[in-house]
Amino acid sequence: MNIVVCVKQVVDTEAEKRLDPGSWRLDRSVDAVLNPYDEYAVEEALLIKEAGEGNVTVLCMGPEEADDAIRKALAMGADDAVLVSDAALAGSDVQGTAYALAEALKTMTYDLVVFGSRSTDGESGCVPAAVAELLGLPLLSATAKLEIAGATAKANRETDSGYITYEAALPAVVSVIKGINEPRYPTMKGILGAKRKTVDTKDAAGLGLDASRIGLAGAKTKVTTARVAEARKAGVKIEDDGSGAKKLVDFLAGEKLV
Amino acid sequence: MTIDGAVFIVVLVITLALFSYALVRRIQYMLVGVPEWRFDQPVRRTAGFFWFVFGQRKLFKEKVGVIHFFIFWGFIVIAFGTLQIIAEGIHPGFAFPWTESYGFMFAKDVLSLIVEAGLVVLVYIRYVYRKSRLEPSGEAAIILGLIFFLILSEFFYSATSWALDYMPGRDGAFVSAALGSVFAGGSETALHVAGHILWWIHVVLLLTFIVYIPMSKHMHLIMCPVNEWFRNLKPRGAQIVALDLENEDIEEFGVSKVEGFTTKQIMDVYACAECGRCTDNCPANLSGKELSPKEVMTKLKDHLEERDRAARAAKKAAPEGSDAAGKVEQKQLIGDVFSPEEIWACTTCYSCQEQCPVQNEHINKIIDMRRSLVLDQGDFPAELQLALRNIEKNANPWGVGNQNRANWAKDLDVPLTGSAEPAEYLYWVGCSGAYDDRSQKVSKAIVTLLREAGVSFTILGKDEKCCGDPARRIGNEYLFQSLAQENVETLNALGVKKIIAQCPHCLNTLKNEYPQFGGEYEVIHYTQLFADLLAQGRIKLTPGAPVKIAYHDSCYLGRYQGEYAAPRKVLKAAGVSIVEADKNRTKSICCGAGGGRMWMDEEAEHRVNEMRTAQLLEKQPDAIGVNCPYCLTMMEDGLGTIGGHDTVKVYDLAEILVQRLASTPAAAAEAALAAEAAPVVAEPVAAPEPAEHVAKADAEASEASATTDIEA
Ligand code: SF4
Ligand code: SF4
Repeated sequence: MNIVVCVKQVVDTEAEKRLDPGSWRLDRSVDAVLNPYDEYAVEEALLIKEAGEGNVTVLCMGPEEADDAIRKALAMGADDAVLVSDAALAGSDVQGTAYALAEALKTMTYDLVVFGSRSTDGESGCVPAAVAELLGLPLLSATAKLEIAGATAKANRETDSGYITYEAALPAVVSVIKGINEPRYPTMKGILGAKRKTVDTKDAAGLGLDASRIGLAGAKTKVTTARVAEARKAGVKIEDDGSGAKKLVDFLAGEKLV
Repeated sequence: MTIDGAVFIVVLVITLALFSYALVRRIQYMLVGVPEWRFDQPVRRTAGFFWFVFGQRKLFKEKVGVIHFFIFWGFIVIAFGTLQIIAEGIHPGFAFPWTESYGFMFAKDVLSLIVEAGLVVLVYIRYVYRKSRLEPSGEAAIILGLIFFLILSEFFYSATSWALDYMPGRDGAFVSAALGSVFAGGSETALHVAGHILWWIHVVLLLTFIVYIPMSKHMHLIMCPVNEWFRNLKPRGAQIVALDLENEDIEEFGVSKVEGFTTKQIMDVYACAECGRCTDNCPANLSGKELSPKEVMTKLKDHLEERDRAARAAKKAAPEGSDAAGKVEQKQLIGDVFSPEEIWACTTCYSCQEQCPVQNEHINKIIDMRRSLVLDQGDFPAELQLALRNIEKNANPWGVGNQNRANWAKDLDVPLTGSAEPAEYLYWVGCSGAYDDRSQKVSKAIVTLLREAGVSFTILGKDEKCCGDPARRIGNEYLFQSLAQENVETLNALGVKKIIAQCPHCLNTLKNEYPQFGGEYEVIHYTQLFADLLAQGRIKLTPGAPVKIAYHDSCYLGRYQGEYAAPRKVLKAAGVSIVEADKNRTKSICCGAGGGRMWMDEEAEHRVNEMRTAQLLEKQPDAIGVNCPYCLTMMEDGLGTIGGHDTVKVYDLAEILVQRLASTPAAAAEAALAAEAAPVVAEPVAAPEPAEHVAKADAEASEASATTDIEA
């Protein structure tokens, strides 16, 4: 079983984010990490591999610095890595990204493509679907439980009231949600092994990408503005001096909650 | 030579053979370890050897240690008496010169009597009073009985020979002389027969004792002196051994099999006298957890035996020439011998090693096994994984964004190192002082006091990273070393020489562990600096209300640095009355947060912090005084769960000083005191919640969703 996990490097959720007011692109030079959702994707791929046989390849599109995120996935236990990197790709939107990834996947052999359900900075959650569409593959999205039996994948998608089980023939694209597993903590052997591995880097020309479909210029959507959400106001502290219960009720009543 | 003599020699040879066999076997067990022989500083080692072995220095930490002192010295003197008895049996009439000495013979009998009395006390303590740290085991009974009857038989045998063959010098041996004069009237044949029987009783007891030594906990008679010589001479805070992470040939990180320990680490188990002092002072054990530092030694000892027996049995059972013997199923060190619960329960408080009379090292064994679980197996508690991930991403265990590290000082205008005039000190705030709401107040108090005293200082702000103490003690040497390297690089680039640490854990790591990575600084704890400044009159205080403070010694300022005086000086200068917990100074009990335990869940019925808080409350103080941010959190949490926070407050020593600053008007100080205390009442836990990476991500994502350069 050959599994490709698509990963992305994001700015840590705790880091102070800076947006370039011209392009509205995020300054990625600080505190970059492997997208937390992708850790679940890597883990799921490793579990499938460990249950049988196979190979796990990480596929990442991003600047050269994304190497750190790739090494993290390798340290967890992925076997190989491919990085699609080109200045021409910077500023790609959902469709441009999906196009580049799909073209890269066409050069690889795979039975299963796994994604984290979304990235913590872009948040569109659409890339897995777009890639599946471009490759003409079935998509099992928002997967909370995944089983591979022979040439079929069986996935549970969680809903508010329970879950729905889907089945699809392999090869297929799966996106996984938080909580599907517990991502492992990389061991020393994993970290040292990851350092020694070579990442296969491909550029736009190498993949024969159509320049009109990628990058800022090829993007079909345009960011017009971005605003930082107002910081949450400090809560009200009620000290119990005997009238605590009353104050609490008054507060809730004031907020029209009771 | 008498016939007895000839028989004796045969029996002696057999005894020595058995003894050697048992001893060699144990030495072989020791040699399965990675070679570690400490031959540095031989003079210091030898001096300490005499001090600890012949001076029995570490035994006096407990009153009953006096008995051991006498038994030890009694034994040495009695050995001379025994030599004489044996010589006499082989060659009648033979006398060693010392038997002519009245004084020596007198001393021998005095010591013998003391030993007999001491043994009775020990039996009482172990079997009747049942002191908790001592097991009422058969092994101990055999040893105590052997020594008791060895001495008794010597008394009676010497009495018969006194009666039969009077020698003037031997009057010094007043016990046998007194008994002898009673027997003197008896028939010579009867005395001969009795003497003969007593001689053999004595000899058999002696030989039994010799064979029993290497097979029992009395192996410590042989190995404890050796262990004392090879003891760890490094400062306590520098004893964790750095792993060579650059070496690509290393197959295993940490220790998952007993062979992974060093020879010295295994030597410890044979030096162990099973006295239980370590366990008796272990916060993990006292709070009802599975870990017992004594059992770290005994279980390892049993494991070595068991492995050997299993291997031998397999070899016997295997057909000739097959290699089945090599494949014998052995118990796993982690899992079968030690449970993960035991391994994770340790707070690295150093009390076990402080109390251990034979200089055993428990903590490194535990950390080695943690290293295996973290670095090799990636199998360890989820709460710790979260803390480590937070440190990796944001350089603090809470996972708050690192760019916020200096937010606590926003309104204080504290200069950043490098951007300001060079200052005398770097004030190392630490993660708690920077991010924990409650500890931030302490940081502010320290700034107030430093300014009051006119000390020039700067802080690093976001360039300061977690010092690595929790990472190293959790077993993540890789993360620790990267933090250490980054911090050392920052400090060296800025030319930092002198550092004031707020947290005793940072203090220890910066002072004792960073030199391994090229960082040599003069690091002091703020209580040490303030004690000096107060003495110099550079901080002026006005006496406040006469409050009673129960002072709690933190492990990393107390046992690790040996600093018990400075904090007490600070409190004295503040004019408060110090009440000491029953367990204080070297015997202080940990708050429960060291060794990464700060980040682990504690089961409700086994909380170390509640136990320690209760010990302090027993003294009915007005407040509890602490010097460490971990202790601050733990004691406040303790008050929150066991009750008492409405009458008792927890203050850091810096806060107590600020409340009494002469420059602060008394009324304002009182108000500050009340204000500081108030949130504690409402919210005993002031620590920020750990940032769960994905959950936080959900909440914050909207802020940054405007970028689409690479989608997922
Ligand atoms: S260091 Fe403290 S907690 Fe750990 S075993 Fe020793 S006494 Fe117990
Ligand atoms: S390790 Fe030390 S303190 Fe603990 S039982 Fe053995 S000799 Fe006693």
